[in-house]
Amino acid sequence: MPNLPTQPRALTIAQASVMLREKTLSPVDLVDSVLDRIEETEGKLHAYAFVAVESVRKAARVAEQEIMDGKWKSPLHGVPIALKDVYRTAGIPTEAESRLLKGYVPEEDSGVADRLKQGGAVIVGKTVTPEFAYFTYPREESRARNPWNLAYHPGGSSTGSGVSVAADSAMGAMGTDSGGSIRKPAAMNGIAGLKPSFGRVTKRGVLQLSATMDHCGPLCKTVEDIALVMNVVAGYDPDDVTSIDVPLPNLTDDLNRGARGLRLGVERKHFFSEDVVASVRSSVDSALTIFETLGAVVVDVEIPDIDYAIAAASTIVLVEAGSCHRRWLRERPGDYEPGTRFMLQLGNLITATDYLQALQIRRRFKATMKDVFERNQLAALLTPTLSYASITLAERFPPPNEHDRGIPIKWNSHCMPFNFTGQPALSIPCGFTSDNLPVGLQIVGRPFDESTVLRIGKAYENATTWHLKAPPI
Amino acid sequence: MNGLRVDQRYVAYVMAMLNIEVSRAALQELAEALETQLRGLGFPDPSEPVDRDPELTFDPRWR
Repeated sequence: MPNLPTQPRALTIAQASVMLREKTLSPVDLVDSVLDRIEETEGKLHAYAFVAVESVRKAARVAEQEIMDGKWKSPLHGVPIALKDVYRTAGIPTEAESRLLKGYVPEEDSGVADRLKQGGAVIVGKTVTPEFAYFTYPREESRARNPWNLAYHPGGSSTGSGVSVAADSAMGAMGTDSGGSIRKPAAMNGIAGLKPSFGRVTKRGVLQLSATMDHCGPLCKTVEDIALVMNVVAGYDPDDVTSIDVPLPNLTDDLNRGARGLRLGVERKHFFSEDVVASVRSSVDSALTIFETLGAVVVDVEIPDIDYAIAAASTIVLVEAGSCHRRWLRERPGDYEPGTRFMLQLGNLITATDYLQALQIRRRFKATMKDVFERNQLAALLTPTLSYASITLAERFPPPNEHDRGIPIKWNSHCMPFNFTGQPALSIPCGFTSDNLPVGLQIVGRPFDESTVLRIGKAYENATTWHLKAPPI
Repeated sequence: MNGLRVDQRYVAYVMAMLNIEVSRAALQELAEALETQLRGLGFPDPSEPVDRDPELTFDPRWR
């Protein structure tokens, strides 16, 4: 393979996997390289809530022996992966950045952690999140910094997962996404992040925020790496009530089939409104031009009622989060951060009739998206991932009295509609602002058609170099 | 009030939505009655508040 990085931690999963299988790279050396990088960067970046130094070294030694013995398990065998600190991990703390879970060390793995281990991956640690993956970062240490510019926020709520991958302090990471929380940090850190279809990746053992809006998915350096992780973690889980039994194809099979002949929809009124900053708009417009040169057909589409969808989706998240925290809100309200408690209490103030109306709007909007895709024969819809590139830490964490009184609607305006419909949505880097902050392109597919979404993302990567750029840290 | 808090803003919101005029004293009485009643029912909350809710799911498939 030409032009491989000199440091193992800077390899993609696909590159490392070949070397691990061919025994030209040891899992122990790969893990050491990643741990060295964590040591080097954590003081500045704060990507991790907990680094599992001892257990990951032990797991790497086991993986090395297994590979030497010819017991190769999957392309993730010996690859260090990080998990957002809402995934239960046996023997490794799972605290979701909350005093309510301080000292909690689960006895069992979440479904994803279990599948990663079965695939031979080694768990390097738990990445920072706002409290319960909602909104408030209680500790200074949980306020991770953007490796492209330390004065900027790196997005969330899969905050540390995005930062760790961008900074090479994990080869890949798992996040959760209830309103954009995988795609936003992917966009802001200049990496790839997939929110799969609802029901595609098991949520067993993952702390709940919103039962019908939560999704688990990977953040990686490249689309190919996303496919490799998905091949291991995705698929039906009978022990997760939200899991859906749809056959999972090998997601690397169609990666290099290109974009020729695919019809790609673009909706201008909402996704390119005046709220979208100029540098984001121009980067995404340039990406659309590249798709046309690749032989794709870019078509303008209209999506009625999208504003209702965002309001209804927010209602669902607020109510479902408020509901699952009801007992602790009653018994231990003082243990929540004020910002989290405010959001959870807000959910308890919404009426059941409003929640049911939100579900009715969801059914209608799902039918709208089906109609848009079918009438225009779309393979995917393309949008900016966000209307902006990032915000400064000073904007994200204003003084206490002005702090955490709600999420500006524009933060979720581009991502949340697809939590609402449960469609797969991928963010990949498509440019930079004049301040050298990455810009994300969102590729939204038909339900359970991750294969086409990843194929389109890979076609774009093959034609560009944005995904090869590394932050200056 | 300790324990379950019935937020009076919520009761006021519901009353307003139903177009019912109510005095502050009556609102207080209603809030306390609701709290007593809900406590009396003793409906169990989830044993682990952040576990997955076994009742709630969604199917994104297009039929």
